[in-house]
Amino acid sequence: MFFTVARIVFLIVAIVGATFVMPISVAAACGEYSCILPFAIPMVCSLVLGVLFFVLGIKKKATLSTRAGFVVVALAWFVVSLFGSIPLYTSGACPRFIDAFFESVSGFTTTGATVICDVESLPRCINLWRCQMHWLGGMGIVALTVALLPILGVGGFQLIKNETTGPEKGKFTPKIATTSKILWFIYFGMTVVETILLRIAGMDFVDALSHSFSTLGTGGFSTKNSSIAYYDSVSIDLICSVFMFLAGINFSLYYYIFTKKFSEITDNSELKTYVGIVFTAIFITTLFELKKYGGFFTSLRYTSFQVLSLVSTTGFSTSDYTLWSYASQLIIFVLFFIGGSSGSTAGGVKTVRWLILAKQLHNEILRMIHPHGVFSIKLNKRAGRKDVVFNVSAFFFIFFALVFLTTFIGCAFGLDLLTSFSGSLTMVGNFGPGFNLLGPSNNCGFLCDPIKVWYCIVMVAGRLEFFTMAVFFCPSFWKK
Amino acid sequence: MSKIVIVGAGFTGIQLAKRLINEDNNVVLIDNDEDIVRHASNRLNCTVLQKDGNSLETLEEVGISKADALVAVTESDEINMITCSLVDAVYPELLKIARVRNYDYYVNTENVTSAHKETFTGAHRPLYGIDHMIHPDVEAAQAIVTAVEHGAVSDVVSFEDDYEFTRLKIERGSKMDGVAVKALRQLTNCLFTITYAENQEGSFIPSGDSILHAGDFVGVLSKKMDIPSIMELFGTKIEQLRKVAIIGAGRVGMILAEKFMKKRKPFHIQDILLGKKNSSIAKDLVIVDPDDVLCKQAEEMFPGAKVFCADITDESFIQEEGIDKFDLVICATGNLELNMVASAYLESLGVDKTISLVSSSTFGSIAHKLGVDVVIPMNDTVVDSIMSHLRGKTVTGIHTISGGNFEIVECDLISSSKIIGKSLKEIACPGEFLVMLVKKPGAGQYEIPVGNTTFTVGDHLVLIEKTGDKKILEKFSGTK
Repeated sequence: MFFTVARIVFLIVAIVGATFVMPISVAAACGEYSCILPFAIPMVCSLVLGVLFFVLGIKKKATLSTRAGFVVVALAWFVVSLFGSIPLYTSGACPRFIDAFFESVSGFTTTGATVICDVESLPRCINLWRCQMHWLGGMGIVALTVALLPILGVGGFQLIKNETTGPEKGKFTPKIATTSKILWFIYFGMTVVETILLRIAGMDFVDALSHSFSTLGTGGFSTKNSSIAYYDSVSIDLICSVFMFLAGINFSLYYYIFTKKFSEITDNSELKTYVGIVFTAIFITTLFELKKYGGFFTSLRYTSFQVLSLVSTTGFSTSDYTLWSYASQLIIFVLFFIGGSSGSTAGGVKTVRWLILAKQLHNEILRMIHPHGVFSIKLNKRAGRKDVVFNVSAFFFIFFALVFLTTFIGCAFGLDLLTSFSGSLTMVGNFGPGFNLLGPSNNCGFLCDPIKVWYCIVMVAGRLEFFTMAVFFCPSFWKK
Repeated sequence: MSKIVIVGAGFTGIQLAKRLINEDNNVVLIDNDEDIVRHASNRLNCTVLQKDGNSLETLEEVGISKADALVAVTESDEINMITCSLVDAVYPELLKIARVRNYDYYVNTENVTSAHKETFTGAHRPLYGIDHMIHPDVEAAQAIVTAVEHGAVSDVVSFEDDYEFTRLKIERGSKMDGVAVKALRQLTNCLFTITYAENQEGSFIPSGDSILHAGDFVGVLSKKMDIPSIMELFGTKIEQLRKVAIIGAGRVGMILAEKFMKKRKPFHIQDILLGKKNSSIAKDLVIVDPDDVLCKQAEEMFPGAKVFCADITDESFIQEEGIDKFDLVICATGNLELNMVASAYLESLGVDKTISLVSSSTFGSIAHKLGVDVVIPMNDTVVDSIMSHLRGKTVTGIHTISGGNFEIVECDLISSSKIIGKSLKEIACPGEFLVMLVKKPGAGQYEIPVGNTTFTVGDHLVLIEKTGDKKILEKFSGTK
């Protein structure tokens, strides 16, 4: 069992290591020769180890128990984060190891909170790697491994379930490897399209690629200190807005476009709610910020970008929302609680969970009027799993419990309440920027080490939607 | 005279045999139960055999090769289906009817047949070699739907084309009160025939001089589209049945709900603009069942309907949901006695119209007396349906009405018939029988005959007569 777990984890690391090829080629192309070795050495090591474990395990039957599945996924995320921090540390981008690790976790979990004050001074390959971590973590490193290596067999779905987001997890093709391949293919395709568009809109190639990685993964790292605001371009704002919106939608819906099952899309309750929330939030903030921006379209440009950036949990900024009116700030604050759609690359609570709770509320009210009535929750015009409400309420409990615990830890180490609370939300929900000291124009560099360590744990827990991590705290998990 | 083999001498088998024997058909009844066979042979004027009906040897022994039809109505669906398939393999030209109680078998067969229309036309035999599958619940549900389409005023019998036979009450203040039958034609332009009447003294076939009074029940034959104006003549108000409750979420209830929900027209803007009223039935559909699991299924299947998990005899529940103010309550539980009692009870509470599913026409007349508006006798519905399938190929169709006092018979005139060449005036025998409809050979439609209509060979007649009066049928059909 131990061997199987180690084998899968090392294979995942090897896959991630193989993608170092991109920063290395950028480093070579841009003449940043000192950065090649920090990438090349871990890459070679991971590949050698990966091949070794692959060959060693080829004859053994890889059977994975449900419990080991949790271990694999949780372990993989920490190990990969550790692995991803090596080039950041050794290249000198982050002089302190804890900072490099924080940056890496923030990258893979698509949080996008950075500890680096001046990203523009970093080598370009390092910046690309930071964004590439978003891209890998967005769709999921386990999913990537399952898509590329046919090693996991039946256990694959079990593993991916521990990683993908949303209360209802399914596969739309009979084989999970095919599902993963299709999702990654769609993801890849969208990234290519955005890169081309951004290149046309005026970014150079590496920046365009970095920002597409960051957008599609709904991360939030940028290669510029002032994020997208640096470019001050309507077309770039628009392209990013559109792709942030798209990245916040369940990716399996794109598959239905290809298979022409349009009823799956039009019947999707979560999509409708997501679109409704996005447009309402944009509309309200646009109205409230009319005065500040002095025109409807200017206001629409900045508020829609910011709303989409937060609802999709990306965390890019073109304007500092902490300077907006309080009404708009509250809307932004509410968005911190919502998050994108299940099955997207976005973090947060996810729209569908709120929708399920709202439907449950409706049912409870109906039950008061009709004591004998029978009511169920219907999603996508179908009756859902009967215990989905229980799952969602458990999720809410653990989400808020963790938010308050994290807030407490922040406050205990000297943060003010608003900073600590918004920081806690932003870490648990993988958003990026928060309020006050953690606002969009600040960064996390000033946080003390214990907080950074705790935030790292919380970010991974949030990315894996808690349950995968929570099982380790359950005594029966450890009993034989 | 035709030869029909019936496999299975249960209630339906015996009932069917009786009807067929009454019409002078050659019936062979096969059952493997000794007691049932002894019992049946004592009472029925036909061959009754104690053998396994699903053996081709047995069937050939009783002369299946010369038979016109095979009806399989044993307790087992599988035996019914296999028997038909078996016979079909050797004698494909034989008409085969099987009763199937398992809804999945029925629905699957229907679906396959409709999905592969091209395959099952022409020379190809139907699935399993069964020409007609009779599903008791589907037949009952269909009968209920027909009744509801007519405002649930009374029992309805539909004929092939657009003629329908209804039982109506002459209300107080109707123009018909105190008018002789022959004077009725002057009251309206609609063509209709009074086929029988029921008053306190009993039921009779009226002659031209019979006078009708308020409170009498009258059997009326008319065109489907004329029914509303005829009802108006009778003083019956046709109310929109908007609030409809189905008691029982079993098979019949589910089929009913499905049919009602399907009938709902989708919402169209132009309907409102043109001032069209949405005349669809069952705007508010309520399903009530005490079974938790059935309720949940129903709720998931019909999002537009309200489902209550309650006992219909629970007074507080009826008050709570205002069931007593409903336009129509259909009692279609599996407990056929409860249906009767519940309907009567709800009727007494003030429900406008009630429909009740009962076991046989004997119970039907009791239910009528209790005040139930429409009674659907389950067993008779099945037998009726089998008879209607046998019609056309071999024998004429028969419907029992008015609590079994009268029969509506359909027959074809052959050259040996005594009435060939005579007009209706000549053969008329007021009070004995009544020729309701005539279809001339080659003509597409039925017509209501008038005094000088002359009968010729090949005419298809629909007539009403007192139950068991075989002389009339002999005279018409020319057989003995």
